[in-house]
Amino acid sequence: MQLVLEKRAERSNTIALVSPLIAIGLTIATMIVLFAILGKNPLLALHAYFIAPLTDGYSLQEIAVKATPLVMIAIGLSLCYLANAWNIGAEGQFLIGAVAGSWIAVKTQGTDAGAWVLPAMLVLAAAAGALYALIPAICKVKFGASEILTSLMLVYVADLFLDYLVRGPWRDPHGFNFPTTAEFDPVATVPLLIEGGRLHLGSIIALLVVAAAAILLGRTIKGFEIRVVGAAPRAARFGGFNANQLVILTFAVSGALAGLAGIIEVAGPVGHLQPGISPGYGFTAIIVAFLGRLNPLGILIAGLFLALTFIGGEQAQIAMKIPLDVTKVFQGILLFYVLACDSLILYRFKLVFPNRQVARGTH
Amino acid sequence: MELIEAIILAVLAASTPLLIAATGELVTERSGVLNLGVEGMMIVGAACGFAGAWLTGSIFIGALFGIIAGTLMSLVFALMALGLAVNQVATGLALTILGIGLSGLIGAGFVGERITPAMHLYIPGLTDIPLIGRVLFGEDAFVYFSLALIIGVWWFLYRTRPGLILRACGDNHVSAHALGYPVLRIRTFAVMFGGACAGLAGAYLPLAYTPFFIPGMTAGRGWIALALVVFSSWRPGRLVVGAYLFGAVTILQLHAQGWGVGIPSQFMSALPYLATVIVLVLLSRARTGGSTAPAALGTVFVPDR
Amino acid sequence: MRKSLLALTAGLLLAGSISAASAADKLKVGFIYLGPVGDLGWTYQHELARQALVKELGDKIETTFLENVPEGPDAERSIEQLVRAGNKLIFTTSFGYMDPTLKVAKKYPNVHFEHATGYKRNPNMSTYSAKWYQGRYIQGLIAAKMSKSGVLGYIGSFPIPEVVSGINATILAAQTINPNIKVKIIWANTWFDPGKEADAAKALIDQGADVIMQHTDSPAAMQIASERGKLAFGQDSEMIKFGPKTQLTSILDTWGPTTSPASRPSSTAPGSPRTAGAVSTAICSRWRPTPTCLTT
Repeated sequence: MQLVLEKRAERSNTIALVSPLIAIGLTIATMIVLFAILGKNPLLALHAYFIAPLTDGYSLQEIAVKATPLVMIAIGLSLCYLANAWNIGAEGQFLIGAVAGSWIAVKTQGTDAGAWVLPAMLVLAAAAGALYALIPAICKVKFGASEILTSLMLVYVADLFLDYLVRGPWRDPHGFNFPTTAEFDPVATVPLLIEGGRLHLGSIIALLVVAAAAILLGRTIKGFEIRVVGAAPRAARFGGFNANQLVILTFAVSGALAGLAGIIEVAGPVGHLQPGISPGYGFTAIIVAFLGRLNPLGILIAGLFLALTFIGGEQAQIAMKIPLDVTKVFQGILLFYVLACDSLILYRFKLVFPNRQVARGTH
Repeated sequence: MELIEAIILAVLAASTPLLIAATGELVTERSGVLNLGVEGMMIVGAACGFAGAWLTGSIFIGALFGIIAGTLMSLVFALMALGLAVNQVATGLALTILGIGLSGLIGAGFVGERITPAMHLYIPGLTDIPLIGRVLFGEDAFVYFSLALIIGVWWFLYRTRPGLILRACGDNHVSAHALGYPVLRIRTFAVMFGGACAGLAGAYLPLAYTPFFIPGMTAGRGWIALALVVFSSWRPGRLVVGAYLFGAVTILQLHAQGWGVGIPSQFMSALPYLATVIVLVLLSRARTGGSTAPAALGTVFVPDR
Repeated sequence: MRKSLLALTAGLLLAGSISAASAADKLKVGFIYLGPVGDLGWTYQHELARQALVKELGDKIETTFLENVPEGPDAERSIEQLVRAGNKLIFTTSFGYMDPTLKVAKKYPNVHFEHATGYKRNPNMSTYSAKWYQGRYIQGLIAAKMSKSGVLGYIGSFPIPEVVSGINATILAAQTINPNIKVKIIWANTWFDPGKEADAAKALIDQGADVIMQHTDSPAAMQIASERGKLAFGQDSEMIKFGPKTQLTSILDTWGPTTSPASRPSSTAPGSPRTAGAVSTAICSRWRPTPTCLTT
């Protein structure tokens, strides 16, 4: 007797809704065991991770702030992945966008430049992110060089380039030679939504991006094309869709969104350009994209959810002195559960008896 | 002359963990599975490898611990990606997060301890040959093992029937299944081999490279190993070239800094990455025909019963 | 003026500047760490200080830390989380936390902040740092005296003031002993990558350096120097374990009270929130003669 997976005839909409609940149930069960072993009160730990961050306005704001770049990048990545283009260098596109946008902020510093500065920064950042993403896309289309390698390697290059700029040419002249640009002028800063809070305009932009992606994928020919090229490349070729063109397009869009996220992060929560502006957003966003089932609304939820585990992990560290490594282990397990339960949307378990397998082997 | 020998020795040491981890991932990917969790498996291998060596005083047992730890991690991946047909990219990334956390927990008790690193070989007469002696006969056993490993993998993939079947699973799992081959079981073994290699590569760091354990000491080498597999176009011979090329540029840029080349150090540090991209593009250009990637790489397979 | 974390904390306790706190309430002290507590370097030394604080002040205080907090957009939130958890004294232990600390400090005037190695201050935000370059100067003297080849190797992390001033101090000092001394510098462009640090040390030794100095965090360079029979200096923490015959001295970041008599609670402890002024924390650069050294 053997337990095997079997493809469902149709995707199960019931499971699609229930699966996150099963995953959370399993996680809670695991946590109770894990924390009991560590000698921490599981109920308090659960509260710190999942409940406490949702119960006050401050933490909710922080979740939104943290989720903003994740969601924006993940939306772009999901378009790539739907079209079978493997952009894993969003981190680099994020950094280059931040650099390009900051160029305007640095050059207009202290001048009486007006309200055009921030919009110009956003546009330039998106353009630069798109251009940077086009390097792997063109290398793939023109030369057949794998975009997985080129996009990943360009992350390191972008990181070192940013480092060079803030330690050299763009260094704050009054900053005692520390590696950062001067604090951006108010016209070069992303406005806050709530006075004294941290929620900024970027979160609204992220929501607009989610809506735009939903419309693109659900209601336009282009969106249809992206999905067909990814799901059935042969059929797409017969349908006259150009796969190469789509690689270029999706890479450009995802690069632009990553670049936009980059400048928003720099001109928003950080306020100046410095090394380390991304705690791995570009990579975490890959998980967000898949956790959200490559679906815009799903990505929004997944981004918020992952942000919750970050904030919750921090609060658990403070309230219960749970080491960060435990939070990482817990995050990993949680992701496994969510992904595994999602698998049940398309598949179901089935018991197979060995004698049937033997029969199959002999024909 | 002595400097050249010293540089070659440093390149060998720097490239070895990349080569071992990439060799394992090459086999995994050749079977059609994309495991992005190399970094996570490596760091757990590093923590367990150090723990094993520290507790027993034996480098060999340490390496064994690393291999076992990497294999166990890869089994988690196999359970998810093969058993439950979960998306491989997401699973691999989640495995990395899990690995970083686990290695921190395992290694916490060993921070600040040191062990005697793996001995360098010494064969009287041979090792003393000028210029090539120390390169060919004077490094630690891992270095030579890594080369034996990749030769073994080449032989397995291209000269044996199981190797052919494994490649068949990677290129077309439906056909392989139709021919009666147990695709999922073969892939599980390939994933386990990848995990074992990543664990060993991770263990190499605290056992031979720098004989102590510190959280995060793999410092992104797992990602480089992944990139090298792509660089190699999934071919063992080119994997060796890629690993040594990357190691060589890494070491040479340090030397260039020492000689006082007046280029900002950030550009020098970026060289290994740029070199890999440029060489890949040149190689891809020279190649005619379609992609060399295993056709079924990264796709989910659930057999029809 | 030498002070330590203990002196600062004790000062706050003595002065009763936390007026709202009743006698039964503990002073809550928070720490933001850049790396993991077990990094054996910068963060580890701060963690030792926190442990020393707990040991000395016992149940008068309660400490919390957040580790591995990147110096980017997350820092401000992490600091604010500590404030919201009731911490009244918060140490932000890396330069990159400067602006986030300032932002939070302006928002919460009743909480005291201590920021490491920065230059921006506020009535409730002070900075502390160490005069590492003085230790480096001594190391430069020692290195020049010990070097036979006249070439010193220096592994830098990033070109920031504290690293550059260390290099300058070393060179100036070494030149007073041997005007023709050469200092070869390799930037690793990382604080922490044992493998790369080891590679850099190898490259320097292969190019003729016989004394290795480092401003990166792991003991890898010390280890390589020891393997090759060269000499080296430790960084951040005691690294003699990794080169018993190799370590000449080590820059020890001793932020806690245990090693410095100046750190006992005393009249120098601050009363009301201090405005400005860097506090130089204890620094030890110890001359530890080893058998190898004595013979030369």
